[in-house]
Amino acid sequence: MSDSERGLFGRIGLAARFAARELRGGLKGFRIFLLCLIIGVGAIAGVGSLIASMQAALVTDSRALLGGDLEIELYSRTLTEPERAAIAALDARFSETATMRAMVRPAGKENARPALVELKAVDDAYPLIGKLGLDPSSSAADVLADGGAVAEAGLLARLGAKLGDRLTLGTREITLKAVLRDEPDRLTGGMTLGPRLIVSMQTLEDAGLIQVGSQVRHRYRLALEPGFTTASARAALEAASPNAGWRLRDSDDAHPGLARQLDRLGQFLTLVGLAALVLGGVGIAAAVRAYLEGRVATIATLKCVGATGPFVFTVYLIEVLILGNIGIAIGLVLAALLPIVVSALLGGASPVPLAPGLYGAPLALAASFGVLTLLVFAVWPLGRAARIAPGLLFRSVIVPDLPRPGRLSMGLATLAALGLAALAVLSAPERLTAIWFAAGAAIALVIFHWLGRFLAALARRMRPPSAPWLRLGFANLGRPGAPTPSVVVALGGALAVTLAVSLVEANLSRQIDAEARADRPAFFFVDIQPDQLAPFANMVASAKGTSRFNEVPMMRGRIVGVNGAKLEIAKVASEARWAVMSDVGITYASTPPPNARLVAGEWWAQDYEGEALVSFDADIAAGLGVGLGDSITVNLLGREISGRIASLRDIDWMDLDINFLVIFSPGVLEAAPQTKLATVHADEAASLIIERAVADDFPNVSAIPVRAILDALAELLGRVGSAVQAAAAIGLFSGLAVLAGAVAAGERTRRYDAVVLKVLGARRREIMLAFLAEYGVLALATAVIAAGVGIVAAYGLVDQVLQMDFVPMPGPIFAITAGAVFVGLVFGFAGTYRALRARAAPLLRAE
Amino acid sequence: MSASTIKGLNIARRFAMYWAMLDAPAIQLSEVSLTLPSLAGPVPILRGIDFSVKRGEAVAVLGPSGAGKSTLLAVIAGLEKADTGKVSVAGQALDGLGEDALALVRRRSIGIVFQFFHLIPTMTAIENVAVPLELAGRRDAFAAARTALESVGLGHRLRHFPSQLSGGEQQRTALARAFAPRPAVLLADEPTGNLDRATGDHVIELLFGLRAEHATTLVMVTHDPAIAARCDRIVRIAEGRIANV
Repeated sequence: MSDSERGLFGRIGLAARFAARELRGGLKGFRIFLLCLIIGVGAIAGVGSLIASMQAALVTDSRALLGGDLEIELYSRTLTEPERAAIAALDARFSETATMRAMVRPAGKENARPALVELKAVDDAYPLIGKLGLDPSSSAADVLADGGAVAEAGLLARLGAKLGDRLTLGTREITLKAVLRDEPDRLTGGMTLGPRLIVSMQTLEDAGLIQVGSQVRHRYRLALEPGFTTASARAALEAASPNAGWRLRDSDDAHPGLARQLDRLGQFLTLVGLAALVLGGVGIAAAVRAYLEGRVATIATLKCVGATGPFVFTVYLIEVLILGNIGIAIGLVLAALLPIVVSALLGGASPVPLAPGLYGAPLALAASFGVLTLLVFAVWPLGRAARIAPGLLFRSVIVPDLPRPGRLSMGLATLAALGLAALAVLSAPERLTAIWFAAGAAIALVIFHWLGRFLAALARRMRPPSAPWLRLGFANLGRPGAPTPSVVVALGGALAVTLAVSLVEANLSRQIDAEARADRPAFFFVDIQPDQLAPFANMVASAKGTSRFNEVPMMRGRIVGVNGAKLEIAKVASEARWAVMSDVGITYASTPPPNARLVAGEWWAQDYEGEALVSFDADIAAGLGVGLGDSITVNLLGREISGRIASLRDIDWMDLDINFLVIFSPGVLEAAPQTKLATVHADEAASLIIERAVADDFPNVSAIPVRAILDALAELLGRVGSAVQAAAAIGLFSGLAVLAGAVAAGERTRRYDAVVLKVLGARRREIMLAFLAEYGVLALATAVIAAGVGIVAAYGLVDQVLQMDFVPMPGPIFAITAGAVFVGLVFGFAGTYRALRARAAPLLRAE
Repeated sequence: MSASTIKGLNIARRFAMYWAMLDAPAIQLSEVSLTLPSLAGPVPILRGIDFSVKRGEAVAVLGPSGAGKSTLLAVIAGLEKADTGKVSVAGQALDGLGEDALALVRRRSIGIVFQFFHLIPTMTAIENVAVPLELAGRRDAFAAARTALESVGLGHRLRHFPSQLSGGEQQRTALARAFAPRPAVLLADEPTGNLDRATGDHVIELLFGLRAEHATTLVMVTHDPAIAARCDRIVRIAEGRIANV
C-alpha cells in the first residue's frame, strides 16, 4: 500500500505509533524543553488568571465596591432639594458620604505635629452593602456616635496614639474608638497621601471643615428596590436634573479606571510572559536539535527501510507535540492555582479583591501561545532532521550534522511565527502596543542571534591567547555546534529586559530624589477660604525661613462638552480619559503661570476683556481631538461654562508645581464659589511653625507636605517596580534554563575533552580553568551585549516615552554584568565537575 | 481489426514485456561516476562504473579500504545519487527520482544489512522487523515480522530491545528486517565485520539460506575471501573502478 493509498489519517496513525515507540527512550534531554514551556506558559496563564480573578471580583463584588447599585458623585457641593426629591422618588435605600483631606493632631498637645489624613464622613445608613471591618468588632453607627472615629493603624503609629485617645479635627475633638481593618467601598490601588480616618457626618459638620468651595467629594449611594433597574434609575435622575454636573456610576462601571488599569497591567505582564516564553523557545529549539542529533542514525535507518522525509517529520513532530503539551499542561495547572493561592495568602490585604476560581479564557490563550511557540522553534530542527541523508549509515562514523530544512518547513515555521504575533496582537486590549512589542521582539531576537553568531565567529578567528586553558576556552566558544548563539539570544535577551527595567526604575527614582532636592515648595495648602487669604499670607510671612508664597484660585469641575456638543467619553483617546472621567482642577488668571510652557496659540492680554478664553493642556486636547479655536464646556457646581481654546500648554505633572488642566481668562469665574490653593517655600524650622499655626488658626485648611507626595510616589513606584521586576525575573529564569540546557547538552563533549586532555597530561586544575574560561567568557560577552541592548531600550523608554533625562546608571549595569558572569561560572563549574569525574577507559574504548 | 484481435495483441505485448523483464538484470549500472566534496576539494569515489547483476545472482564486492565499495552499495540502494550514468534496480530506473520516490523503491524492492546493524534502539526486535512492513502498509506486518524472526532463530526474543540482544542476535534481527518484505535485491555491507568468527559464520549461513529460499539477488561487500567464495561472482573495486570480475 502506498502512502496515497493509506490516506492522511492512516499515515498520521502510523507516525503516531512510531512516535510512541520513540518516546520509550524517556525524557532525557527534554527537561530544559519542559522547563522553558512550564515557565513561559505558566507565567502567561498565571497573569491572565490573576487579572481575570480581579476583573471577576470587580463584577461580582461591584455592588459592594460601589457601595450600592448607583452612585451620585458631586464635587464641592451637596444635593439640592429638587435633586433629593428626584432621588426619593426612586424609593431606594440611600446613604451619603463625604471625603476630603484634612489635618488631625493629638488633642491638648499644641506642639504635636499634625498629620494629613484622607477623611471620610459617613451617615448612619453606611455601608449600604457589606460591613466595615473594625477592631474591636462593632457596628459603625455605635462607634462613630458622639464624636467617635475609626482610623487605619498607620495613623495611630504616626501620631503615637492608641484607642481611646482624643484628636483635634478642625474645631472639634474626636475619640479614637476602633482600628479600621476593612472598608468595603474602597480600593487602595492608587496613590494616597495619608491614612484613612472615618467620622460621622455630624462630626464633620461640627468640625467646621466644610466651607464654600471646599474640595470635598460627596458620594450618594442608592440600593434600588426590585422593579427598578439601574438604567431606569439613571434615566430618571438625568431627566430630573440634566445639568446637575454630577457623575453617575452603576455597578456595571463601578471602577472603570481600575478596570482599564487592570487591562493595561494584564496586557503588560502578558507581553512580558510572552517574551519569557519566546526566550524559552530558544531552549526548546536547542533541546529538539540536540535530541534529533542523537537520533540521526535512527532517522537514517528509517529512511533506509523506506520512510519518506515527510513521514520522519511527522513522527518527530508528534513526539514534540506530545512532550510539549505535557509541559504546557503543567504550566496551566500551576497557573490555574495561582488566584486561589494568592487569595489564601493575602486574604483581605490584597489591594484589589480577588475572586478565586478557574478561568478558562486566559488558560486557553496561554496554551495557544505555548503551542505556537513550540511550532515556531521546533519546526526548524524537525525540518532539518527530515532531510538527513540516509547514506551516512554507510560511513564508519556518523556525524550528527543536520542539513538545512526544506522550504515547506521554513514556511511552516514562518506561518507559526506570524500566527503567534497575530494572536499576541488580537488578544491585547491595546493592539498598537502589542504590534510594537511583536516587531521589537522579532528584531531583538534577530539582533541577538546575529550577535551570537558574530561572537562565535570572532572566537574562531581571533588571535588565540597564549595561556592554553584560555585558548581552549575560546576555541570551544567557536567550535561547530557550540551553544554560543542560543545562549546569547536567550540569556542575553533576558538580561537586556532585566537591565532595561532596572534602569527605567532607577531613573524614575533618581527623578523623584531630584524633585525632593530641587527648589520645590515645602507645602501645598488647599481649601483656604478667600477671606482667610490675607491673614494666612501674614502668618506665613511672619515665620522666619519662608521665601516664597504663591496662591491661585481653585475650583473643580468636569469637562462635559466640546464645540457645543455633549462629550462622548467613548471617543476620547484612552490616555486622555482620566481628564474627563472625574473632576479636574480649574482656575483663572490674567498672566501665564511662571512654569507655563505654551506650545500653541497666545496668552491673553493682562487686562483682557471679552469672550471666555481657555488655556488647555496640549496632550489632553489631542486626546479630545480639539485644538486652537475649538470650545470646551465645563460643569462647575451645576453651571455649564464654555470657553474658546486660545492656547495650549505642555504640562509636566511631575514638576510638583501648581498646574491646572484648564485656565480661564479673567472675567469668567471670579464670582464662582472657590477656595485658594497656595504653595510655600520654607526651611524645616519654618515648615514646623507654619504647620502648627495652620492647625491652630486655620483648621479647615489642609497642609500637604510635598515630601508626602514624593513618598507616596516613591511607594507607588516601588510597588509597580516590584511587579515589573518580578515579571522580568520570569524571563531571566527562562534564560538561565537555556544556559543550564547548554551546559547539560555539552556535557558529553566536555567529558570526552576532559578524558583526552588527561591522557595528554593536562592537570585537573588546567582542565577546569579551560571550561570555566569558556562559560565565563560566554557569560561576560552575553552580559556586555545585553547591557548594550538594555541601555538602548531603557533610553528609548525614558527619553521618548517618559520624556525624562536618561542617565545610564552604573549600579544596575555592573550588578547585572557581574551577576551574569557569576552565574556562568557557577553553571560552568557544575558541568565541569561532573566531566572531570568521568572515567577514561570506557570513553576511550567506545571511540 | 476485430476486438478479439486487439485483445490478443495486448496480451501478447504484456507477455513479451514479462519475458523481457525476466531476462533483464536485477541491477544495472552504466557509466556511473560519483564525486563527493571535501575540504581538500572534490574527491572522485566512483569512476565510470559498469556493473550488472542478474536476477537471483549473488555477487561479492572486494577491494581495499576507500576503494568505493560501500559507496557502490549506496548508489544501488538510492542512498547516494550518481553524478553521471544510469542506475536501474529491479527494473526501476533510479536517476531522476526524488528522495521520497527512492524511499518508496527501497520500501518495495531493496533490503539492506549493515555492518553496525542499525536497529532502532527504542523498538523491540519484532517492531524493528515490522518497520518496513508497516511502511508498506501490510496489515499482517507483525505476523510477518514474527515469522521472519523465527526463521533466524529469534522467536524467543521478540519483545527484547536491541540493548538486550547480543551482537549476533542484533545482526540476525537486521537480517530478518531486510528479508521480511521479500525484496528483489538484498545489499549487505560487511555483515560480519562487527562479529566474532563463530557468530559471523552463523549469520552468513542464515543470510545465504534466506537468499536461496527467496531467490533474492545479493550484492555483498566483504573482506573475507571465504565468504566471497560462496557467491556466484566476485567483483573487485580499486580506486573507484571495477578492477576485475
